[in-house]
Parts: sequence; structure tokens; C-alpha cells
Amino acid sequence: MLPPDCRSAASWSPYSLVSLSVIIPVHNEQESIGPLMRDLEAQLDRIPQASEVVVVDDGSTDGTAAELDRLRLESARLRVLRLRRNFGQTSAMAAGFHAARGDVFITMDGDGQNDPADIPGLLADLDRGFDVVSGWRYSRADSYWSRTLPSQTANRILAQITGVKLHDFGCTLKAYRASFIRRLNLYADMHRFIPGLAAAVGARVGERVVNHRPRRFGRSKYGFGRTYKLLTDMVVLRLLVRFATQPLHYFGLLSIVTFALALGLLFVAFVDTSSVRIVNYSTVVMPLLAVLGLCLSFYFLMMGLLCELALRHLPSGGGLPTPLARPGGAA
Amino acid sequence: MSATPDLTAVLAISDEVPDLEEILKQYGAEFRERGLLYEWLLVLDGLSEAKAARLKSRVPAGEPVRTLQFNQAFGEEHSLASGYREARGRYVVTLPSYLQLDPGDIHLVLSALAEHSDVVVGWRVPRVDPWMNRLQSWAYNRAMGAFTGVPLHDLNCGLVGMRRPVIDEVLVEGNVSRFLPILAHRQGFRVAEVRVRHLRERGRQGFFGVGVYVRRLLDVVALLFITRFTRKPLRFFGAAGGIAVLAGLLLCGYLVLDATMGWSHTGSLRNSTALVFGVALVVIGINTFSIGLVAEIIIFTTARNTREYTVERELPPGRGPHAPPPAAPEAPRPAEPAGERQPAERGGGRGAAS
Repeated sequence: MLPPDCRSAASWSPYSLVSLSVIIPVHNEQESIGPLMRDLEAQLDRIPQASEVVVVDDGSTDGTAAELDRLRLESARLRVLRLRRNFGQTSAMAAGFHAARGDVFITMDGDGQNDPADIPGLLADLDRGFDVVSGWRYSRADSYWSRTLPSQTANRILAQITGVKLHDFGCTLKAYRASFIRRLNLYADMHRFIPGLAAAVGARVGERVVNHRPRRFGRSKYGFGRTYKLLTDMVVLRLLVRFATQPLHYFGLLSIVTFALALGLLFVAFVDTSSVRIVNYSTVVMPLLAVLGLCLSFYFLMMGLLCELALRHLPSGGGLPTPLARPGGAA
Repeated sequence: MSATPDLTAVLAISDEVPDLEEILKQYGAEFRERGLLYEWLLVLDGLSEAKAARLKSRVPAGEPVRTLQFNQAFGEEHSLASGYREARGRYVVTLPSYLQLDPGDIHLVLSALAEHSDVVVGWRVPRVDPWMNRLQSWAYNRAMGAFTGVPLHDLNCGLVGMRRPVIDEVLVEGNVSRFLPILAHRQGFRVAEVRVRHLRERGRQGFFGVGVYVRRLLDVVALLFITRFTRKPLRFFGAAGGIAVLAGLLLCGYLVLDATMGWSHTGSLRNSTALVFGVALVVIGINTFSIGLVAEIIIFTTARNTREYTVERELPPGRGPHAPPPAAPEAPRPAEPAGERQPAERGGGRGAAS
């Protein structure tokens, strides 16, 4: 069904789609998955490209596995991956990405809230030259206070931090050129940052307003507790992208700054200006801070060296992979 | 030996084994009774040439025995780990290296493996060793159960059975092979326990020292730390470091303000132990945070080569809507061992992703 060599990375050949993999992580979606597959198959039948659907059963405990088995036998393009237990959405997605064979990946929620009818639009955007197209649930079918508002806030911060101006990072319906995804490190709740990471390795990121259908079956699996994790992850990621690429550079910078501060404080302590004598800043606080600065300075330097040591022996040389460049045609 | 055996029985041997013939004969008889094609894998842990030769000469005729030999003693954990690596059977069973358990009970383990379990651990009831050992063992297993969330009664039982994919997918390096059931459980394998009869303890060994258990407990804390914080170390280190820095800054700020404003009439920071403490907190906090950052950097960069998930099975599409219905659509989990359905390329956390 799919050409055997379509796994080879960076198949850049002109922006026409060779094949399409739709990846759907599911966890306990016994009722939703059937109708979703029906819609999806109908939609994919209308698309000229060869396509496959990879449903990743993330350790479902209800009848999802049996239902998927039934659907699979009825379908010519549904592949089912069953994980050994519930590993979480990012891992399930990563499993789908690893198994998928297409040149274009489309991810969807298994709960049926994403509409397969949006797929042609996403593909058209990819053809227009985008590498990642994110869905934007412009009119969300969720309650405002518990879902929409926190999500809007998080999205604004995410856009600020990642530098990718999207309105809806949390929308699972996204289309990717597979060559970018295959260059990324996906683990532990990272799927929200794929657009940002993809941009960091050279992807052109766009978005498109997509339909958001109300949930018909089952319960939502998201809650408030995720916001803290999301926020810390964002800060961490920003640090990471910089530090992981050039650890000694950034740690070294910290080291130099703290060293200079410490020297300055020591100087003040020696000079003992009379203006601050009332509280003995110069004789107690300043030397103490100076020692603190010196300690940290050497500490940062060592950390930087440690990172270099740990990373530079890797085949990748550490940090993000080399960005993919797009052929710009003859000049 | 050309045919792949059904079963590999691993024995870790660190000294001469008076019971060897009995073990091989009795367990061999049980295996044959089940119609299993089996092999023995004896891991000789630093036995001298003379001892090894004596041992091999005592192998009863007809028992299919392979041996592995370490040149020096590396301990039971490493022996088992290398035994697992070398085992060829669809099932692997480790046995105690003396007749500690009733050989007839091996059927319970094999049945459990054939039916529904990926890992089966023996549970020696009732124990026949001194009360002190029983108490220690009880406390140890309780503590481990609480720590790891895998409530096993007898983790140290020498009788452990597992299916092939467990060995292929659960990373068992040397000194954690003892905790294989826990690791397997975390990866989503089904772990079960069977009660086995405890015949005797090795005579010359008296009480275990408490040190043994403390060391193992520390091992498990390390193991847990590794499995729990390896995804996002900065979530933990960052929070801890941040709290320390914040506390330190608050303390220092208060002391400085106090001295400046003269709230408590000391008016001086000269002898302030609290200030030193506050500064120490800040330093510790920053250290903690950056250790977390370094850990996070290492994980972030190496993550492309690891897989966090394990695939139980992968099913291809059917023939499509117009194909005739297949013979047996409802058989998502046949009783055969999972190893045969496992595509060879998905090797747990070891495959290269890119």
C-alpha cells in the first residue's frame, strides 16, 4: 500500500504528498472510536494519496481493544498498536510516530471531537509550504471556565515562550511533515511542544481553524493539575533548547557573571565605605555574598563542563538536531 | 543443540553444589513430564577450574546442559543477568542452587506462564528459616511493596519464571536483576505470585545480616528514583531548589531589613548565624536546581534514542470492507506466549528511534 522506501528521512521531493499516516492515541474510547473511524475512512477514501491509520491503544481497560480489533478487520488501512500499559498521551503518540510509514503525519484525538473533514484543509496547507499545521479550535465545544479559559492563558504563555504564534497548542489535530517529527525527541508530556520544537529544527509552522465537535461519549481525561506541569515544562524547555545546544556557553556565562559579582563585592568589603557602616554591610554581608558568588561561579563552570562531557560523545553531538533546510530552487 | 528450547532453566552457582545431580534430575523429570524441550544454563560464578570440572562431571547423562563461566566471582545478580541474556527458551526459569523448594511446584510456575502471566515469582510459605530471618524478610518485602507499589510477598525467592519478551524488553543490568519482577511490572507486564513449598534452608547459613537488606533497600530507592524522575528531573529538583532559594532569600531579606530598620534592636548583622544559614540555603537551592537542569539536559538530548513505551502487539489491517470475514475474529489474546506475536524490531527501550 505504501512505498517501501517512504521511511527514509527528509523526502523533500516537491511538495506533493506521497502518503499519509493518521495517528490516533486512544485510552478507553470504546464508544467513540467506531464512529470516528467511520467518518475518517469516508474522508480518507476521498483523498487521492495512499493513507494508513495508526491507532495506538494506550493500555485501555474497557472494551476498546476488542472494538479496535473488530474495526481493524473491517478496514484496509487501520493498524492497531497496543501498548503494554497506559504510558500517557505523549508516549502513545511517539509510538504512533515510530510505527507510521507516511510522509505526512496527522494526529487526532480518539474521542471524536476532532473532525476528519478538516484533513483536506490541513493537507492543502502543507502543500502550500508549511511543515507543521496546527488545528485551532476557534469555537470550542467545552465549558469556558474549566477548559477554555485555562487553555487560552496557557496558549498565550506558550506562544510567548516558544516564539511560535499559535492560538491553540493543545489541539491534537495537527499535520506534520514526517521528516521533522522524526528528528525530534518526544518524551514525558512533550507533545504540546512539538510545534515549538519543530520550529527549532527549521519547520515552518502555521495554523488553521478546525471544527470542534462536542464530546458524545465518555469523560474528558484532562484536568486542572496539568496546568502546573505545563507551565514548568514550558520554562524548562526554553532553558533546555539553549542549554542543551551549548551547555558550556550558557553555564560559562553564568559562571563569569557570578565571578564578576563576587569580585565586586570583595572589593567593596575591602574598601569599607563609611556610608554603610551602620549595619556592617561591608564586614558581614559583603564577604558572605562574595563567597556565595565565588562558590556558584566555580559550580556553574563545573556543571557546564559536566554537560559537555555527558553530551559531546553522543552521535548527535548534543542539543537539538541540525535544522532541516528547504530547497529554495535555483537562483 | 539446534532446536530452540521451550524452556531455559538458569542456575547461578557460586560454589560447589552438593545437590546438583538431584536438582537436575528432579526438575528435569518435571520438565519432561510436561513435554517441554528444555535446556539447563549453569552460570558458574568464579569457580576454580577444578571445581568447575568436578561440577560438570557430576551432570547426569542426558541432561542438556550449557554453562557460562565468570573468571572471578561477580555475585548472584550478575550471574542471573548474564544467564538471562544467554537463555534461548521461550520461557526462562531461575532456580535456587540447592534443593530449597519442592520440585513438583515448578508446575505451578509453568502453568501460570502458559496461561496468563508474563512473570511468576515464587512465594515460600511457610518459611522454614529462623524467626529472625522471617521477620527481616517480612519487613523487607513490606517495605519494598510500599515503595514500589508491587505487593509481592517474597521478592528474594530464587524461583522466578518469565516469558521471553520480558527478557528482551526489560533492561536488566547486573545488580538490578533481582528486581526484575518490579521492573517488568512497571513496563506493563503481568506479574503473578505462586505459593511454593519451602523444604529447607542451606544449613551453614545462619541469620542474614541486616546490612544485606539495607543495601537492597538502597538499591531499590535508587531504582525507583531512576524510573520515576528520569522523565522530568527538573520537576522535582527544580521545585526543591526553588523552595530552598526562596526560603533563603526571605530569611536574608528579613535579617537585612531588620538590621537596617532596627526592628529588634540588635542593629547589627555581625554575629548573625541566621544570615549564614540563609545564604547556605540559597546556594543549596541553586545547586539543586542546576543539578536538575543538567539531568534534564542529558535526558533531553539522549531521549531520541530511547522509547518510553513498550508495544504489546501490533496488528495489521484486515482485508477491507469487501473481503470475506476472517475465520476467528475474536481472539485478541491467545494463550500462547507473547513472544511469537512480538515483532522483532520493537525492542523495548533499546531501539534507535531515528
